[in-house]
Amino acid sequence: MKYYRWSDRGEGRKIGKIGNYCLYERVITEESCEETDLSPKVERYGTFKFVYGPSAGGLLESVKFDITTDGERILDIISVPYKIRKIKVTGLSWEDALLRIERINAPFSASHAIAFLLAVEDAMNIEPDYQTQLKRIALLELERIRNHLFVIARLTETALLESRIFIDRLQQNGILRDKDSIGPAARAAGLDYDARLELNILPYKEIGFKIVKAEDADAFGRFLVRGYEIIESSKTLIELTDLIKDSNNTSIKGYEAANHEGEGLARVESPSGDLAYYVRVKEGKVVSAQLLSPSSVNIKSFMKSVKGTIFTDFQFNWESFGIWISEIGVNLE
Amino acid sequence: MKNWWFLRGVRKGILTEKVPKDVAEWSTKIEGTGAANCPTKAIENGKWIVERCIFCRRCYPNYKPNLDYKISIVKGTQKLFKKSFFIYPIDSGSCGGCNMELKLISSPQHDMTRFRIFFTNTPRHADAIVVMGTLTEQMKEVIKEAYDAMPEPKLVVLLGTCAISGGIIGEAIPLEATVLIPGCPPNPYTILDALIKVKGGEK
Repeated sequence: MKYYRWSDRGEGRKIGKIGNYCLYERVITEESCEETDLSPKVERYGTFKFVYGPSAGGLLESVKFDITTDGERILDIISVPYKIRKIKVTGLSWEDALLRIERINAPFSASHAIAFLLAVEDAMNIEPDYQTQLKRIALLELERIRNHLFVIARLTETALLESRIFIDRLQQNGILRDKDSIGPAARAAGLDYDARLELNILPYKEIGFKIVKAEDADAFGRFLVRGYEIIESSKTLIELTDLIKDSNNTSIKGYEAANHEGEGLARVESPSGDLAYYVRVKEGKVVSAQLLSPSSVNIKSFMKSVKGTIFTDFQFNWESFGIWISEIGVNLE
Repeated sequence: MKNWWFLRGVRKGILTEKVPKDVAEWSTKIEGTGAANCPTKAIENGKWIVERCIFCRRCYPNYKPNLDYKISIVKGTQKLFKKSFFIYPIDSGSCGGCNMELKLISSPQHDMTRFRIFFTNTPRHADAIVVMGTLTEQMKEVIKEAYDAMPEPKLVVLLGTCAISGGIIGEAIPLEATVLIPGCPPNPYTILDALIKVKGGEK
């Protein structure tokens, strides 16, 4: 593994659980990731359980929320993903596995495919050429712009930016200051957590990109971070138009693998935060693959932030995290 | 000043398309000859089987898309829904792609309401259930409950290759469907075309 090493204990920022292991900024450990207990405990006089989902109009995907409430306020919450997909990638060639990896989560399809390919290249000790790496950055940034526009559209479709009522729904809603958070949720709390800065897997530093942060740590902060990131990603893409020379990739015929057996780990910054794959490859076939999806970390952050808010705020807070159940409810086999 | 949004809307004019523009190539009919390295057996003896295609482009350049987006299979029409057609989307086990493309038919570009097609949040008010994604264990019961709650007459629409044939990921949805909208994910033009056909015309 070029970008990561095994360690007895965690070092640096904790990213999250990847399969049976715990992923940190630059190391992977066999220790179990600390999980926050999110089971409802508030059972006092007058509280009752309200079920939202699994198939509700406000939710794009199938997920059920068991909310403990005393009428208006969300006192406790647990989420149950309803669409659990088993996707078989082991025993397949990396090309065939890639067709399935692309379909784990369509909105982050480029992030999944690129992280998986980088992990496979790491395992097989392949050095991708500079132009390919630049094109990967272009794909990731295009995906970021598309996704952030989608999240902003979801947030604003029922209200208007000029409306004070809309702004009130976002400000002070879902405040989250948590060192375990990732992506726009972390950056909205002033934390400079970003895989693009932390790792040299893709040559982001050479292109020059600026991290976007906010201080409010609420849904409005996350909304602003996404808005400014659209501008930053656009600037990166403008830089890339000068650097990317061969748009059809015709000059590259193929890569020689130095290793035919090995393990690889790669992490990229998807639109909603860190996304990593840990793979083992033997003779061009995937022996095992483990995924750390940004939504699996973000849903925990969401549930921490939603406690104490009122029902009306739920939808705005939920959308501000950009969570996709499709990548949470996936078991790679 | 509060009405800026209104003025902005007037300035931009009508965004809704009368005829489709800029159809994404790889969501349209595929034609060609010769060998195809198809992972889902969507090309057999040179014949393209739309229900199985995941549009992965492995058959390219022997097979190419021809920009014909009208690839849905509509097995019948229900003219009772001609003036008002309410659809209830349900996600069985999708990757999120079908969900996003279905949502697009309500965008200003496509504007499904001009064809009297609407989303509903409850199966009780639905004329058709639109099922997306592969079959998953926990959603079996949810889909059955939603289908049973719908009033008669009712239609089933399977959206996306996963729901129709299982695609490359899993199992198909075992419901008798009137409309099959293939694609990975399907094009909004294809979705709208199929829904218009099943309700028996545009107006």
